[in-house]
Amino acid sequence: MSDLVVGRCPLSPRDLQSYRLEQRNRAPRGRSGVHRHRRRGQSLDFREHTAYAPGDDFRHIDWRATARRGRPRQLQDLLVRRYDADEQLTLLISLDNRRTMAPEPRPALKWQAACWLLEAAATMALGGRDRVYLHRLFGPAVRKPVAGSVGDVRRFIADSSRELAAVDAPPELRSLQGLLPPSAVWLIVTDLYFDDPQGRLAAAIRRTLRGPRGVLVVELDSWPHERASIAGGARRVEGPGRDVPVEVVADPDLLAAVGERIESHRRQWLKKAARPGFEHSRWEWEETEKITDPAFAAFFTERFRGDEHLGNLFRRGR
Amino acid sequence: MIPFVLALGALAGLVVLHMLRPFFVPKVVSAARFFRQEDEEASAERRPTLTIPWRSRPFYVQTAAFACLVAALWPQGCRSEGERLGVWLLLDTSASMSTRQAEGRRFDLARAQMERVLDDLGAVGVPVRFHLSTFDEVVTTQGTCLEAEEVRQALGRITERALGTDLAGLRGVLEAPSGPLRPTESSSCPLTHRLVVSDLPAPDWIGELGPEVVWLDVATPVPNAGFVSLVPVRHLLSGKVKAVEVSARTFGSVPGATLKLEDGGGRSVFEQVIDWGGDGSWSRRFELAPGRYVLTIAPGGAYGYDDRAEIEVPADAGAPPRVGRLEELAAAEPVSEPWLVLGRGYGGPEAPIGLFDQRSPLLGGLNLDVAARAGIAGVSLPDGFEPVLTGLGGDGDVWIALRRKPRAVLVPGLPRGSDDGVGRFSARAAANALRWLAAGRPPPALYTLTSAREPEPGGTRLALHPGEGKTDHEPSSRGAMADLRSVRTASKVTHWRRWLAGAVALFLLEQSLLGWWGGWR
Repeated sequence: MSDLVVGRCPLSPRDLQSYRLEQRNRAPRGRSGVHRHRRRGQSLDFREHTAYAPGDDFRHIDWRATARRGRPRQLQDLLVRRYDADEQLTLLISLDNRRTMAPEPRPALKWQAACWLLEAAATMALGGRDRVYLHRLFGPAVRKPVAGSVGDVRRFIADSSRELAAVDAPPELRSLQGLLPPSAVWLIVTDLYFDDPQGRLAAAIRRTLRGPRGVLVVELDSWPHERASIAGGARRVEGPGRDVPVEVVADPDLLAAVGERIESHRRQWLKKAARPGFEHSRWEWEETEKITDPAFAAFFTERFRGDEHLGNLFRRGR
Repeated sequence: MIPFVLALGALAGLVVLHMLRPFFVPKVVSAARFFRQEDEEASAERRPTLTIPWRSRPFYVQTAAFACLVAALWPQGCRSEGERLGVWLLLDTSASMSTRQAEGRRFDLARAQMERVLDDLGAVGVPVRFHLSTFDEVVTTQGTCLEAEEVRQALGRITERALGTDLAGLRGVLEAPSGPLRPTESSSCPLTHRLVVSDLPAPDWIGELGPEVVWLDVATPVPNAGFVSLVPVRHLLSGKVKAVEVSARTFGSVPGATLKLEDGGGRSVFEQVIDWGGDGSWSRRFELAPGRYVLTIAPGGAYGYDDRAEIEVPADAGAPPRVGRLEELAAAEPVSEPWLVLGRGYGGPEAPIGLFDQRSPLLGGLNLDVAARAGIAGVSLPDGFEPVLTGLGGDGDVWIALRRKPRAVLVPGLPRGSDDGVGRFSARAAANALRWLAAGRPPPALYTLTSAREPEPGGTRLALHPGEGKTDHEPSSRGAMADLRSVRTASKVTHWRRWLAGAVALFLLEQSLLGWWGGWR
């Protein structure tokens, strides 16, 4: 797998910065889910005015603003100044690094999309001064998970690209301890093709969601593209997780059956992992046989910018 | 019928093979683990149905490739007859083609004849290609695989040359064409017919070349008179040209033909109406001093190149023989001039003759009895010499010997000058030797002949090629233009290579599509 080459992310740091600012000024949709709740606190950064509530510090009442609204008749008419808390949030990004993410050295589109997503999300978080941890979902633990710069992120990608884990490798969860403090968000980038027979990963997600944390699984679904490339004749299908190739006539019935198996597999796992606070995005490839590099870059950009769950990560909570 | 059945059977086999065992295109996918063994089994159950090969695009390409292969190997399909003509046109450009006859110059008539052939074959209705050659002293290829229009253009550029005709060379080329004219089955321009247009009668050997060789003779008898040969007559010993033997000939009646001989200054040396002999020949010897002379016959008849001849009678007879002893010859080697080599002389004890070459001109008129009494002292046979007269000692006792190249003669000694038998023997032996040496000298050139390298006559370069002025023969052709049309079946065009190439191309196309376009199947 030493031939795995990850191209440069189509979203430049400048694009990501402007996207982050754009998201920051938008309110999150809904109250639940993986929202980055910046707590109201005591920093010097003014955030907003709110109505007075019992227990609010009288020192924070903004008399001038209150006066501009007219004479206050009750306590709730008083406007209180709110400030951003200075708390540093944590984003843990877990990368599915099994061989199904890159069945062939090139074009390893799925692996490329995963690495781009990791780089873009980490870059945006680092731009917001959040703490970023990087984690490989399978195989040995990352020696130094914290990423202080975009360079650390790219080194992580390069290290991960050197050798992918076996398809049946168990999830590496031990190193997660201490990486998911309260208010942390766990972003998992995967194709959901892994087996989790003992439910360890799903259990870890459930445990994570017991506290004030969020989990977002971004599923990279390349099956439509692979289906288009297989369809139409006699095929000797081989790939990760299959020791002996299988010879089939890839007619629509057969492909529908395979698609149903994939769907069932992912549904079962999602069902095990789903709890309040768990969110899931599915990035479905286009059903075309060939995907050019520019088209794939456009596909990634569109999905990244259009993903509401990802966008919520960088919006202000209320 | 049998090949047809075999082909159908093989085609059916291909269909069944496709149904039972299609070619599985390798595909590497990340979802491979979701394909299961039962998928393979389910596919196998569905595979032997008629619909599966029809659905496969490669099946059609493979079937087409197979059809090409069958066509290539089909015994009758390999060849198709009578589809193309390839005519090799050979046009005579020798000097005689300049002869004027009632219809015009023979070369123009021949060219018109060729253009008629082009028109005629253009109406045959099958593709025709032409090869064009000219012949005189050499056969020259003017173009191969030409269209009729290209031949017309080439004919416009060709004219006759003041050269003779090498019929033996023409025969060799016709029998065994070389280069692009070599007949091969794969040639895109086959050679099916040969057409010779000349003013010579069809030679006897033309019939041996087969029915597809046509010889058209455009000549009609016309009168001509002209020189046939101009031969120098040399002094026996000095080798100097002392006279010129002029021979002329008339073909048909040329009344009043007069020969004029003028020297280089234009002064008339001789002028006389030629009195032709019964066979039409005439000759006369002219004693001429060294210098340039112009001979003309007027009127000269239909052919012009033999009506005038300019010659140069040389003053120099060439290098005289050198006289010296054997040692002097050995010291002067290598030599180019003739040598009269002197032996050890006469006057010794009498010695019987050992060997003698009675046919040798060196012994002409010699009294060999005198030789035995002349006391000739023999010498060892020098290198390169042949013994002519020896004593009993053979090659170690040589009296007279000769060397052919460069010429040299060994004689016992100079003439004795006495009037006895030995004196006469010695004088005769020396004279024989000098005559033989003189005869070996190259003849002085009165003129040179035009050649393929220098085809233009001028000065003493003449076009007196033998036979060119013979203008009185009756036309004699072999075959006719109609023969070119009637033997169309001689053309056989092979197609199997094309079919085979098509099969290979389709196979490569299918494989390429597999490689470049995974969804091809």
